[in-house]
Amino acid sequence: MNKRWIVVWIGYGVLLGLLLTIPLFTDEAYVFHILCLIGINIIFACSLNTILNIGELNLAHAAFMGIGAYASTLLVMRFSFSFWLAMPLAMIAAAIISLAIGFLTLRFKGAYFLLFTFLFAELVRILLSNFWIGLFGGIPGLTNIPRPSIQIPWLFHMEFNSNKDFYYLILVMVVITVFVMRRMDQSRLGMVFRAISQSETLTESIGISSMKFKILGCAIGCLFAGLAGSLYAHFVRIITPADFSIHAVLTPIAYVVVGGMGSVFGPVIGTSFLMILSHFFLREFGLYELLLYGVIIVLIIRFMPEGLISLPRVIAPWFGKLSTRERE
Amino acid sequence: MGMILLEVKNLTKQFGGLLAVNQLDFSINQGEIIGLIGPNGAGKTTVFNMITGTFRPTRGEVIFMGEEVGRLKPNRIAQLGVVRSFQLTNLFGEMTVIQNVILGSHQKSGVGLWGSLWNTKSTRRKEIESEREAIRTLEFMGLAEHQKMLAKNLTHGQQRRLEVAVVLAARPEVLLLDEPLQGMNHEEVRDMLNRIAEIRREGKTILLVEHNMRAVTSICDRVIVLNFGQKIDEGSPQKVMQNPEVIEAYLGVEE
Repeated sequence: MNKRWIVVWIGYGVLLGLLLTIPLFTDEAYVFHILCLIGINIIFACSLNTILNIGELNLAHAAFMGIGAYASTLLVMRFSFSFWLAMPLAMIAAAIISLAIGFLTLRFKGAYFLLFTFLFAELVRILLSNFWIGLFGGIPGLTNIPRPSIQIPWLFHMEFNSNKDFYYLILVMVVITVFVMRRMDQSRLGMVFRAISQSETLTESIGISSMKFKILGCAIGCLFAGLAGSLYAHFVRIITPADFSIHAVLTPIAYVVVGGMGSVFGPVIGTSFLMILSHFFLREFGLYELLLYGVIIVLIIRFMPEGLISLPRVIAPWFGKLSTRERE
Repeated sequence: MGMILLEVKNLTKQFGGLLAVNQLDFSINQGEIIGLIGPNGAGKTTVFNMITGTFRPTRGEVIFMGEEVGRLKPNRIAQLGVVRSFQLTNLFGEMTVIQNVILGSHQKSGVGLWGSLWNTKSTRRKEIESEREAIRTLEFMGLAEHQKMLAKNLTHGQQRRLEVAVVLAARPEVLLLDEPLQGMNHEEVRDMLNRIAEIRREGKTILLVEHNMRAVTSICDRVIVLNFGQKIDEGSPQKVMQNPEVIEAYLGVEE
């Protein structure tokens, strides 16, 4: 048991080391642009997974990312907050709005919940496009959003102007997100979430308020959606209401499902795999890009219904002896 | 006889034009095993659903330890000490046997969420304590050797036992068991009846819905017979079984 722990931690260390040294191998801005987007999408996919964990699908999840993005941008641009203060405030804003929405909508289940979140996603999009245009910028959205910088007088000064520098910031945020997700998954909280998704009636009948935990789960998910939104806004530097419409949830759902729903690393693996595939490899195929992308997703879901995370278990039988070890 | 623990007064449930339960009165004393019997559709499960807060009674009251609980939510009623099992097997199938029991005890284990999230020492201690308690409960229900299995991979009989273990883990005063013997073979029935008797010896009170008449006769102190949502008889199993009305409800009338 202890040995396994050491192996796991060494694995994390090696992976983190590789990610930290990527800048030594390449300088191309495009590579870092994609890596940053992958990081933001990993955070978003993880947060979506939290809500899938309690057995609900939130179609308005991108809207919460949008709330984070707009809150962070407006705090920085209109109220001259520091990014480092605006980011946590944006997260809290997304979480608080989700508490209110969750309180109203989580009493509905399945398709009804889905419809309400669909409605909310549209509501946010229409609100941002057509109301208080002076503040939200209407359909063209907000532009020239500043990149963050760290400044400690006399000691240290860093501006995240280049994609390469921003990559480090994103990396730190991804590590924090995954760490929190992992802690949650291993704690009672994660256990209760999974219990609710498996049998809400039984959870209630043993004295656990499923409503309370579902609202909490949604709020935690939206907290990190707010983080993804804030990072996205200050990375891409342009946000429009269309960026956070219902379409923006669909691809991340594929990331989560392909990676492995319900596990901590599933969304991470799924997002990395599909985004690297589509940005670095499938580009060559021109017209056939999306077609191939779709075929690959279908194949993975067909042969690994539990996602890429179950790959070792799926291929183990091919190696005969390995398979028995895997089952232990 | 002990004191009255659970009492229903004038309990009525109406679904549209259908009177599922009509003006039902009964009371359960501390430490009793009561059988709630009647043909299919008599309203037994509806009574369970009203006592545990799943359905709101149309009229009438449910009184537990002197307090009206008929309008509380299911999780509140469970916290007070009335915990049910389900007619159709209801477990956390994708979790291990021991996790099912630990979840059953979660509400009363005192494991805080923040403490659990940051893995503090005091929480860790409480978690270990609740694991130990879960193992004791599993030993009591004869499932300790299967604790690492997924609940969905147990046999039907073992799953029914695990359901009772989950109920017990929630530390109830009153256990409401909805057909715990359903689908079991002869051996398993006898085994389950012994365990239910043992639970009662530990001071718990049990309300049982069951179709297995021999089991009901052997274990229940009193029996309440429902037909079309109304109580048609109440008393010792032997007395009730001789009531022509009860026989008629179960077997129909000979023309």
